[in-house]
Amino acid sequence: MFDRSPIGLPQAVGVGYKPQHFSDILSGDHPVKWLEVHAENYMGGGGRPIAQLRALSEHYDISVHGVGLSIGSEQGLCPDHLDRLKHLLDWLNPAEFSEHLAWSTHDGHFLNDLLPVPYTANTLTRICAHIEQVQDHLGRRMLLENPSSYLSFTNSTYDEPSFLNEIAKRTGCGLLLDVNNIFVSATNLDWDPAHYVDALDLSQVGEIHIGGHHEDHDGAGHVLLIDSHSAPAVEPVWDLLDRVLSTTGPKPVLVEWDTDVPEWPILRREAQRANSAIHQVTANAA
Amino acid sequence: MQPEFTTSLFDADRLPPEVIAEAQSTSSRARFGIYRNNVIVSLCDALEATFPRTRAAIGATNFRNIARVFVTEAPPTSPLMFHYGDKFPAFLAQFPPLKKLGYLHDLARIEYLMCQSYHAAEHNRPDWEAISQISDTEFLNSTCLLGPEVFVVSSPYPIFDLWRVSKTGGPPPRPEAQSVLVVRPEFDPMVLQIPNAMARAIVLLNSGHSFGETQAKLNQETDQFDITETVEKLAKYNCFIQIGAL
Repeated sequence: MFDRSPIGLPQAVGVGYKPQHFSDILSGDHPVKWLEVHAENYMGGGGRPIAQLRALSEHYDISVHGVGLSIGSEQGLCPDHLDRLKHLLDWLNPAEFSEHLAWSTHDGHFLNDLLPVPYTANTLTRICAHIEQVQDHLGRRMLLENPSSYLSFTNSTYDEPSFLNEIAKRTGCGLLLDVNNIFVSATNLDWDPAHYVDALDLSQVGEIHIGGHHEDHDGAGHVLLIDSHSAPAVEPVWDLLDRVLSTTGPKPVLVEWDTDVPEWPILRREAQRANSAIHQVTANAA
Repeated sequence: MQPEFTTSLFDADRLPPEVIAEAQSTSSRARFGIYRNNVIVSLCDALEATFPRTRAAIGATNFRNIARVFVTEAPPTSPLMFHYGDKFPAFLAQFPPLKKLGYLHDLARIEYLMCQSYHAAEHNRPDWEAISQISDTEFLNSTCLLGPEVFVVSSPYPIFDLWRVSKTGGPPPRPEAQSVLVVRPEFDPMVLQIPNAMARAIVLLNSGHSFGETQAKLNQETDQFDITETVEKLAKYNCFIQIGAL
């Protein structure tokens, strides 16, 4: 079992760090209190990426978000990648580390997408074993993020909240709750997003993501939402954030914007809105 | 499930795996197509990010079409996307429609090495004060260690001129063999043109030959070669980690 508890992020707003915002972030004229980086972008030997991350970590808490562990893989975790991750987390000592409920590797190839797993007893056992392996190797608790789903499996025997609750219970990992992912999956698969939130063990949530998606159709008349991280969050997603925060109280909330990254003032505006949502629930609790 | 899923990702003619709900329906095929699209497009995007001048040289549409073939044949083997594309230059060289653009391999190779240089580790520098105290003979008997950000590309094509015009435009360069040195004095890699003999010297130094051995080998080709110029060039751009034991 892991022996080091996470430091934890501030109960405040963070943004996904993009190098083009380096100077704006260091200016300090914004509500952002912490930053999230993608682990794999900082696994080179050195250069500007590492230098910037070191500089940022002197001023801001950092959350490291992995996209390459392939926790749902049927073929096991890559020991080299676990070692790279441990090296990064050991020197950076971030406030949190998170990964995805997904797989992305097969037969030695990295597929560069977060691919879905069926929610069965077998996959539950496998994923829990992988999370325990990660936590033991890293010597710290991790957070697991709920996916955006576009399809379902005929052999699933758990619904997603039950599956995530069981993983957290068995492994001691926390949850990274992406409210946009809930909305995307619920729309695509005809779930009730509010019911999803109510069914999840929100006491395990260590971090929240909010971001944008775009709308498409599935060719059979059904709206299909794509988790693109390329737009502002829509109103129903902000409502879901409020619903979660009203139960959990203030939490670290990340504005996630990874493609078609906007100028800083636009990202700052999204961050201000998330900050207001956190402050609102703080005021209500007082 | 994952072997079948992976096979379907890279073959647009295949149906989604049977384990997916209503796998044969129009809706499920469209839904599975999102994953297929995410994989192919994100890998093509990664290649575009690493090879912008190669893309400019052959045109955006051609590049995208070729990249789609490459990512299907050679998906990455690591989640570190800045390492992806090491086999892309060789793929371009063997891609039949590009046979007449023989220089593309070397242009793409420079771009890939620039990306590796950008992410390379910082390193110590030699103690130049101590080196200045050793005799010429001792120096010529010394070997050196170059930084992980340093690369040489020698080409039968005017590759430096082609590299330059790929950004600034200009008339096609006159045919000649050229060599370049990739360095990174601080954070931004640079591409420098160097004499072909200097390129061969750097390759020899990097494979463990002493300065004297390198001088002697190059003198077999030309009596114009002076190892001092190579040392000065490498020193100017902070390429040395170590010289001899110093």
